[in-house]
Amino acid sequence: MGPLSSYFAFPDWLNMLTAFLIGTGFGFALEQAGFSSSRKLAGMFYGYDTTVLKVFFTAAIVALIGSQFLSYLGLLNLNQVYVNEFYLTASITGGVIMGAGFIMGGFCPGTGLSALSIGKIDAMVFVAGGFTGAFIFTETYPLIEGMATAQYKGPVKINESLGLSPGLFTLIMVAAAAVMFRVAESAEKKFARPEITNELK
Amino acid sequence: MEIRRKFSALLLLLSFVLALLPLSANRSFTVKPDKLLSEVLNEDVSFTVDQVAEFIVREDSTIQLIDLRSPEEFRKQTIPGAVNIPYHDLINTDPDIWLNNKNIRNIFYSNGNIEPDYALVYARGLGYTNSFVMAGGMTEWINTVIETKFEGDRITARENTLFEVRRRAGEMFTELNNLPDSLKTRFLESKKFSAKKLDGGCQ
Amino acid sequence: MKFLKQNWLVISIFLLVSLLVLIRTFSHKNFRYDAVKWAAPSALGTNILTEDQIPALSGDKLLINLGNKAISNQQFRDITLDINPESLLEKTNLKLIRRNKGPVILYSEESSVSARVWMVLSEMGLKNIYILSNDATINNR
Repeated sequence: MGPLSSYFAFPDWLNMLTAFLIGTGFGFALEQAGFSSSRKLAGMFYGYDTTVLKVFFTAAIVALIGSQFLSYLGLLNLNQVYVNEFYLTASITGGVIMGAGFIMGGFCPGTGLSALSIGKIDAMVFVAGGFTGAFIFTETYPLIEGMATAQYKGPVKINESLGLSPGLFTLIMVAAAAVMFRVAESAEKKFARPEITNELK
Repeated sequence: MEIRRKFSALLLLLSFVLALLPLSANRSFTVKPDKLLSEVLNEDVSFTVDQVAEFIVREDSTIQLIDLRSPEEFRKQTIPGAVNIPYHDLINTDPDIWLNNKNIRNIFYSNGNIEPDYALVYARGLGYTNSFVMAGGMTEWINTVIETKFEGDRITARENTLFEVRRRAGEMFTELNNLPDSLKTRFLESKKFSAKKLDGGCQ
Repeated sequence: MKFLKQNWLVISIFLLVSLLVLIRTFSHKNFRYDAVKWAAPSALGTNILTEDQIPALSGDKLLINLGNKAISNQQFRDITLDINPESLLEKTNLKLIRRNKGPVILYSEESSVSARVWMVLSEMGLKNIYILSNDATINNR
């Protein structure tokens, strides 16, 4: 509740409770959207199921629009929202590794955990693999430190590097999303596979 | 299908509104104007140089002096314990990194009065009620604390305490400002604010 | 009509948000959006005037005396209004300041008062507001 607590003093336990509730809500949303199924997730790569794109992008856009309005109305201090530090080399390398893992395993970290919570064995293996990867990363960090911290750009925001106002950028994002969803849906028709939802647990 | 279209239309409309707004990363005042005005016109927001001298002598850790002058003026002469945040930087950067500790009272000062007064209103307007000024600034500090002299034959107990505090503060002041440049720079650098980076994400 | 009925939720959310945005943008009783923008003249020093700079300004000049001491210069007495800083934000006083078609110059024998009042007024979106410097303080910011 960081950004809101500049205006209201929240006791610590309330912050923790809110985090817990939001996390639970997120897991619930993932599960009911069907993201506990690795087939649905891998479908994003093979083209027959683009639900992932639509759900996550819509969530991002709603958050974008909502937070901009809250900031304008003075209820949210956007300067306190964490912006990821951008390391160019690490982003590209990590993206490739993560993408390969996603397709092979059919999960990403968040959905892996939500699938784990409903008892899927492949999710258990996936999460164990994730932890192993993190362990290896930490142990070999001195060796890869150079690459991991190369090309540091700081906490950049896309609209700033493009020189656009946040509002205009939001509009462009929404328009781009509409186009992308259209393309995704025609791709679904093109790469369709036999109906799998009946097999889903 | 229907819901999807309506929802998309709503998002599109809202982003049109956003595109028209002059959004900026800067914050706005959260206090109401009349409340802020009466707050800043109250004498509680001002500390006298004697009160500040006492804070320094007692090494009170609940106060933080903020010197709003340029770095050059700060290096030449400053009050012990102060950090340098030029007024221009205070306004043009989110001051949360400097002012957000609610347990510390921040006392602004400059050569005269004007910049600390601006900073006081600005900080309090953004919601930092822990903001104050030192009335008179460096000019008053030098006149009252450093060049303090008591006239007359007899001195009351209270005047004596005041004199002692001023004398001790003056000593600390002279000690700091007479350090050779290299030592002084190092000392002042060590007192600099370490900008608190918000920790988050998977680092 | 049918269109409205079918899409009432979308339309009402949109209208609600637009209303809130309009109120926030144009509200006169509150501070304006973007505090840095309205504080900028103070960082540049462009909001401070000396007595000899006043005649050069265009428009109806209005001097506001926030202090107890009357201004010494006779030629300014006619355009001076004595207002107690505590009651500066009362409707009638604020209207006078807003309606003035020209520069409004704040004056007080204690420069602190005019500086603080300036910041409050500027952040409320009032442009063309200046501080009359007491000569001792203009170089000693």
